[in-house]
Amino acid sequence: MNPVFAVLLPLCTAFLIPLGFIFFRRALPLLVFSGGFFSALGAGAVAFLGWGGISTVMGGWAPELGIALKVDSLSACFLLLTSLGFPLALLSSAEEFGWHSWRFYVIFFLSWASTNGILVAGDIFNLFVFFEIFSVAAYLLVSFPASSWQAVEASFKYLIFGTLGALFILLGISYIFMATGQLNMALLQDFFPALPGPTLGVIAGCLLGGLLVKCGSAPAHFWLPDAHSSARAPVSALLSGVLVKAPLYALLRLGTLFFLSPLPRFFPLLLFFGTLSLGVGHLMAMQQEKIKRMLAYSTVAQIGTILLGLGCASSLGATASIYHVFTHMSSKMGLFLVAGVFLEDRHANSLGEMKGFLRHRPFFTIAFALLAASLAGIPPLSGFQSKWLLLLACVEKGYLIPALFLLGGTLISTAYYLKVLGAFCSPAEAPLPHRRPRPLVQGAVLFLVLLSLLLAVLPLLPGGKELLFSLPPEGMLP
Amino acid sequence: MTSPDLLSRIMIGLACYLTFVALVYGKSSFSDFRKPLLLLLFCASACMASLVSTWFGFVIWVELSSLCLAALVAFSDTGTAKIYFYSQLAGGALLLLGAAAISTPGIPAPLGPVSGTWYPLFLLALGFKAAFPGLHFWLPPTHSRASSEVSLLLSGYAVKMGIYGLLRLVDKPSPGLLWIGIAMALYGVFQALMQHDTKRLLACHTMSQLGFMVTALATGTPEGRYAALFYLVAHALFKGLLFLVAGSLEKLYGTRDLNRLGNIAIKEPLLCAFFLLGAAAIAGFPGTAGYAGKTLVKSSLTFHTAALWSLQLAGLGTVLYLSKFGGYAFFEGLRKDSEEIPKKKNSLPLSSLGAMGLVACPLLLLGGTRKSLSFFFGNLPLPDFWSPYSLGTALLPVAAGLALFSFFPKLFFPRQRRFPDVEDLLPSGRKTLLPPLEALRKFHLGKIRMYFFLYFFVVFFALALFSL
Repeated sequence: MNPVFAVLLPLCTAFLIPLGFIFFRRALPLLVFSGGFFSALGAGAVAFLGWGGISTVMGGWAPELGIALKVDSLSACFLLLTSLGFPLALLSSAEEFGWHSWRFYVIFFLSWASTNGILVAGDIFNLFVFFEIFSVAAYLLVSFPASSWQAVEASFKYLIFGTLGALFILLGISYIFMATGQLNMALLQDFFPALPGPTLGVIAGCLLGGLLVKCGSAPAHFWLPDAHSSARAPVSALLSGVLVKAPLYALLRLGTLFFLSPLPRFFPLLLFFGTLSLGVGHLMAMQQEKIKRMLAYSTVAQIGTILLGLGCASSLGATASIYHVFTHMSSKMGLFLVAGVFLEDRHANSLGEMKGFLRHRPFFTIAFALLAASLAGIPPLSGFQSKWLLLLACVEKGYLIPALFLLGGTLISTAYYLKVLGAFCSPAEAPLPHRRPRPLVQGAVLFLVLLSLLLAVLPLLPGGKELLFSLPPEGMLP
Repeated sequence: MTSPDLLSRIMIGLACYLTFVALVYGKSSFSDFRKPLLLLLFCASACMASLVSTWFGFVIWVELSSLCLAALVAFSDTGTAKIYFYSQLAGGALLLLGAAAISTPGIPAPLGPVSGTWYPLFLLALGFKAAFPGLHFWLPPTHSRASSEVSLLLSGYAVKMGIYGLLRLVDKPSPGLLWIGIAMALYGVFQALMQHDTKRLLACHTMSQLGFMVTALATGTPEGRYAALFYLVAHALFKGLLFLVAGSLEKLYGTRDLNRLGNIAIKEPLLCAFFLLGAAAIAGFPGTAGYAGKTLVKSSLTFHTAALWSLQLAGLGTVLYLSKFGGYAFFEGLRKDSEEIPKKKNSLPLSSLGAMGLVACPLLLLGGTRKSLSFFFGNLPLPDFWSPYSLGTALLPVAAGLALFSFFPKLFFPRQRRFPDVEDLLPSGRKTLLPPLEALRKFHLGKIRMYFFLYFFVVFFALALFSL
């Protein structure tokens, strides 16, 4: 199967939505849901069929000139992530925004297409192009609908930081082209070992600097808490659960392809930023009084956690990171969706006012507790399992300080999630207003809870461990 | 998971028995299904922790059992439950790090001895669970503020999971651990003597008793290991009984303060009898499980004279604190005869008395007869329990303690002010951490240009690092 379908299907849906709105307004829900279904199906099919590796160049051009697309088990994993995360966000968005805001769905599908594009891109310039579409769509998603100044400001901040990051990525790609005359990743792999040290260093610095901003790792994370907390709940869920994972994929892909043997210092620095992000994220989340902002800072910490695995530059580290990517997606999307429901019920964001939810919405409160416990790393949930693998990866390489940060993060995150749960479970001072039924969000959260539980038992299932350890493509990492 | 060995079987049996006693004792006070359910979940996880054969599995089940206990403590005091949970989580996290260090991907390390670099880390991690000096900050508040049936499990079983871990970890002589055990035994009993709250007094003394087990197992000999194991069971029973007695006093009179209790022996003779039995056992009076346990521990320390005498000193302290408890609560007390202690409840429920009976019976059954101990030791050579030497070493601290208390009772007067302990450092530790956290928070509320400068600095730092 041609990987282009993973990009084409959501892109076509984005194109058809305005037409559908103009000519068949009543059929818009059908169009959006069927578009979402086929996009997820397409990406899922590309992921399954491309697990062993598919490589294609569009239009029959030579690899140096054509648009190269490539899928292997690494990109297949992330494609699977998007084909799970985007439909769930779509369902929740439909309930949140209704069907008047057709523009939202256009941006949404553009974001989907560009994320899939990043995952299947086989040359770095197309990777950059998809990153630009991805970023513009993300800026717009954050401030949609542009009714809150906070969201607009957050979007603007994200735009400024994102542009700066994109600039560095473009600079890095330009240097690569200047030094090698190539943009195709597979071909570039052979050129890199021959590059002079300073050139290689500048390229690595630019790419790392750009991608750190895009993924929201410390010390370039200042846009993330604003953007993820100001957006509407389904968008926050999508941003935190899926979108921040695309730059992490790019870091893993480019890092292992280009810098593994010629520039081994690249990975310890990644580890350093991961540890920093982990520490800053958790310490800041602990001090928040607004629930969505706390979850956003927790995302900064979780990005750091994923970077730890990447920084280990080992097959085990990459496996642990990919596992944690899924764990974080299932938990954080659920947490943001539940937080969104509670915020709507209470019309307040502060923890002090978020009381009485155990009686008011028991399902959502229990789901929140379970997902938070998983993300904090309480055994034997999925977060614990992935952190155990990360710990093994860190200790295998002798990185004890990052391992201690990882464990300290468990303690701190338990503390702040307990604070939230304590508020939810305490009796409400004022009765809660009538609640709006949220069947689609409830379904999405239930799915995420089940996914989280499935991830927890995955290593225990027959063949589960083998599947986990086969996630990074063979030969990609030692 | 492999078939359970003797150590696992005893731990499972103890977990089930103590949970049963806790369920019986708390029967009258359970308002809904949550507490019994949590008690059963605790029992299940505790049994699983004793059954697993890897350190990884051990961490998982111990953490789950701590979670259940923290939830149970939260019914009485949320703040204490948090301290308990975080401390156990910290210990679990360190143990997990140790487990990761000695495991290979896909093959978790077996639950067994660890040597070399990672041994101190395992000791530190298990030190949180077994309340090593300095790491015991969670123990006195948790054990004293939980409801009595939960205190029974905390003192009778939860801390023993740390000892169980140590029994799996240590298989050869460990002088460092031996001194830690001695420090625990002495510090715990000293703290117990300084308390006026009955449950806190018992909680502090738990640390001292854990010191006996740690000292015995640190000898690394089979005798020492078996002595620690037997003492573990005996302590669970006598300390459990004393916690139930203290809890019953609180139920009846609404106080745990020795300053407000007194002359209760006449009003509650059965409760007093249970106290005396528990006290006799804990002091090592011949014929009780405590006597057998203490004799075994002392016989394992034949070649460690300093340790032996230190434990004798701790034994003397034990008798003194028990005299203080008994003297001021059940006997003469500080109240004037005319003053009537207000009663909160007329009588104890039958289930509570039954639970105390359930713990009291094995205390006598395990009282030093070779037949009863053969279950634990099989064919292992046992010391002569009824030799003059054994009786003399057991009775010496009892006699000395009683004499000291009789002659100088004012020395052990229960004072109102609480004696400082490591837990008092927690608020100041929190205060020390606040300014850097505040600074970090303020930094995140700064101007965007500041972040740009930081970002550019980092990118140039990366460029310089890569290019050099």
